[in-house]
Amino acid sequence: MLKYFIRRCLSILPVLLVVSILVFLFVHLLPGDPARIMAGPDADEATINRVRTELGLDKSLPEQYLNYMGRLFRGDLGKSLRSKLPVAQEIALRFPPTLYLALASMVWSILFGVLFGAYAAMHRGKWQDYTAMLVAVSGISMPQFWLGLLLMQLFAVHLGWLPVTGFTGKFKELILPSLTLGATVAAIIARFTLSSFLDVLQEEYINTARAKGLSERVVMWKHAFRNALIPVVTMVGLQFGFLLGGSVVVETVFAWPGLGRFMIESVSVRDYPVLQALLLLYSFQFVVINLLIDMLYAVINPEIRYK
Amino acid sequence: MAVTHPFMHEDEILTIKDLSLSFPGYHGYTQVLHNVSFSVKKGETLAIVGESGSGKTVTMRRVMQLLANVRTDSGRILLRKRDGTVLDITNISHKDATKIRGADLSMIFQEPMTSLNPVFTIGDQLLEAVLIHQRISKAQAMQKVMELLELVRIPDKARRVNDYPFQLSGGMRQRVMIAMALACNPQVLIADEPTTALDVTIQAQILALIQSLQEKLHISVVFITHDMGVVAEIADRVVVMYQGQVVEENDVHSVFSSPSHPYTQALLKAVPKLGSMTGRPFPATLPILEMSKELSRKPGDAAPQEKTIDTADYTKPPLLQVRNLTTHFIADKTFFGRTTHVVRAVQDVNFDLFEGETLGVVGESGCGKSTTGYSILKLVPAQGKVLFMGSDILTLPDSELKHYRRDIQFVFQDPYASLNPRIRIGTAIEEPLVIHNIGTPEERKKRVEYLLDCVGIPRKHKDRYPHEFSGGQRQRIAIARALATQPKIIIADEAVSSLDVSIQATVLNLMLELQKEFKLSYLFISHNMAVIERVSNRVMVMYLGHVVESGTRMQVFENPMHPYTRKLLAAIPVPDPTRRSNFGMLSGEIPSTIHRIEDATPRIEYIEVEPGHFVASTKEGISFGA
Repeated sequence: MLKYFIRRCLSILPVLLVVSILVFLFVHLLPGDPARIMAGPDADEATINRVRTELGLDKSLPEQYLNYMGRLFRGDLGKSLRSKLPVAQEIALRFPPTLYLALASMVWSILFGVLFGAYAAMHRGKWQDYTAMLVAVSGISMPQFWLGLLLMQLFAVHLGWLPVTGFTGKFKELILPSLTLGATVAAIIARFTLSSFLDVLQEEYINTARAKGLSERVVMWKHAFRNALIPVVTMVGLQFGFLLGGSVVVETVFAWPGLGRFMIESVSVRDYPVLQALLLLYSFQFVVINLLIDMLYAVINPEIRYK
Repeated sequence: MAVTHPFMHEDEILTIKDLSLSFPGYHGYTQVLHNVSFSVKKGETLAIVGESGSGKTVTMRRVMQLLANVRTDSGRILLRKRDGTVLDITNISHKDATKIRGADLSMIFQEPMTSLNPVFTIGDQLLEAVLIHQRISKAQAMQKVMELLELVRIPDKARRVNDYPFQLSGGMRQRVMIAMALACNPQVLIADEPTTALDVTIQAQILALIQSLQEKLHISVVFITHDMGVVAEIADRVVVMYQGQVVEENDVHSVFSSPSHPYTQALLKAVPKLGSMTGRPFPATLPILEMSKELSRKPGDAAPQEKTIDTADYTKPPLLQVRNLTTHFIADKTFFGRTTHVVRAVQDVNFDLFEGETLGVVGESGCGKSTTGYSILKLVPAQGKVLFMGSDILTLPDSELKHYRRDIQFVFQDPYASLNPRIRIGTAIEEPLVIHNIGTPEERKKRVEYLLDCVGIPRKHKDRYPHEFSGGQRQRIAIARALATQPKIIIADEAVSSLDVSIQATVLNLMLELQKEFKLSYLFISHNMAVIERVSNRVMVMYLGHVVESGTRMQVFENPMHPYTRKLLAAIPVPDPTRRSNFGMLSGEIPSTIHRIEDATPRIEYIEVEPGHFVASTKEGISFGA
């Protein structure tokens, strides 16, 4: 198993290299001249050229890439064009709120999604199945800003149980935004769990388990559940990757100081160093999450562990 | 203190009375079982035999309450408990069903690869089964697990108990299934085609195991099968089912010696019997028509006759000459991509194929028989020489290869997978003609109609899709497609293996008649020795990628020299209850063909024991592969 883990870890290195090159090229292909933006709207050609030299933008692309990567390894992501603060500092400030939100949403959605999906599968064709899936489809179809506003209206404005917006580090503030964000993901996971469960219930080993004389409960939760979960794990990982990128809608509705809003703000002012750093962060997150999923696979599925 | 019951004799454990079932479909319910009645007696082996769709499996799954969405239209299922009381289990709750499953009735299934849960060790799964109905400590249960593994003769059980199912071979998994089914000492073991997916030597071992366990534990066995050979081998009594009805129920000797129902009679005629060709130099068709025609045949009508197929022409030079054909697949690589292990799928295979001849290639799974077929057409990377009409196919560039592919066509095993479900069958048959640019559209249309006539599919069905045909009809369509380009050679890779015996017989007859009509040469690849005996002029036995014995059919079948050929022949259940074999002597698994890349290939030489009859031999003697 250790050999498998090491092999998987090593295999992400070339992926990361390619991703970093693509991100670098992509940012440089965007229209607009960063030197011009940085120098300000009234700057003359000489000032712009000076800024360009300072930023190293007059060098060839491979050279710029190597310089950038060199600084990256020393933890230097450059300075934000807008705030003039180090990009690393700006991201570090906004990463925790997004991470908390993503984690909380993930917990909700796995809990509800897997339970709803499994429950619907076990009562296939009965009212429980239809109800669970009706709720799930509603979760997918309802726009997040709408659901967020509804929840806010009920729990914050009407009942006054929870704060309306903002994040200062309290758990109470996390509940509404994470429920809003988790609803969509929970619905997707529920649909996925349902179909995975139904596939597994067709397998002959489920009949074997029944023929042994096991109760329906053990057949479902022991024999079917673990097998049904294997494809769901991939889904969960991908969704987590998206959540970690920060949700623009939910962060906007709840005035959440996270990465999603930061990204949008940076795009609108062409803050290239920030965009480049965020894109790199997102891709790295995805690669690392995929790695973790592969490892989780090996834990759940003995066939991978022993290869 | 057996209790008398109006429906049940004292020696009966399980009685099914007048059972009718329906399944929901697109247009409401369809009845699949029609008033089925039979009983299982104490300590007997009852075989339920029938073809696909006969209702044999559905009946027993209904008894076990394993069917969802089924409607029971009539009937009762009665079980005699150990204390003699009779329990009506027709409509029991889930909860009551769990009390009976495992304890009174247990079941094993066809597919050893899918019937064990992949994420738990076999020890865990056995332990669970032991603990369901017995209140004992975990340590005692674990001891019981070891006893069970011993009972089903799993070698090295202390290590095997911690293995996951994928680490075991098919035969071993089926042993584990049997152990699990016996964990709570059931009264009846229901075995649903337990050996169908296994190789014949492994099947023989499992049959012997079930027989010995039955004698030892005094249980009743219900053996569901489509294989008349297996029935003759192990059954005491036989229930024959056809289209959801019981058509015959009798003791095994009467069923085979004087079958009363026309269906049973036809079924017995359709089975190729090993040894039925003894002393006959040429292949021959089976004396049977399609089942519907057989059943409607009146006593006065002329019975179908065997037709001898004597098309093989040995006066001309061989059509196909294969020399030192070798195909290796990569099995494992290092991190840096260097190959460390290879599968020696085919190793130094030599043979000739003459015009109008059928060369049978026979062997168990992994012996390389199918890969040999693929290698000839360069469908897999192969080395060696394949001389066809003077050119070496393996060295030809792809552009020229196309021309030869026209003359050598394939018929595959699975008629469901080998036809594209979204292409009309007429178009599928025409496609090879389009690819090879043969004829005008008008001529091609005529050719398609002619080919459909040849294989007995009505012309007007040419615009239908594959799903509208049965398995046997699809295989006929696949044969029509193979014939489209007027090939000289057809490679039939297990072409009749997935078909029911009655359909298999008619497709075999069709292939033999087409051979006579078009002077075709067949490379007939099969695991079924009896089918090979029926259709072949010459036979080649393969084992672990090597040819171990080759010769004329009479030489190989009537005078088998290689120990592996003998073992294979001994393992085949013969559909004749008076000729039961002794499978006890068979043991062992089929070894792997994966080797380290640096391992030397065994030096095999061939001894010509009589003219044209070759037997493989190594330095150590003739024993290779046995």
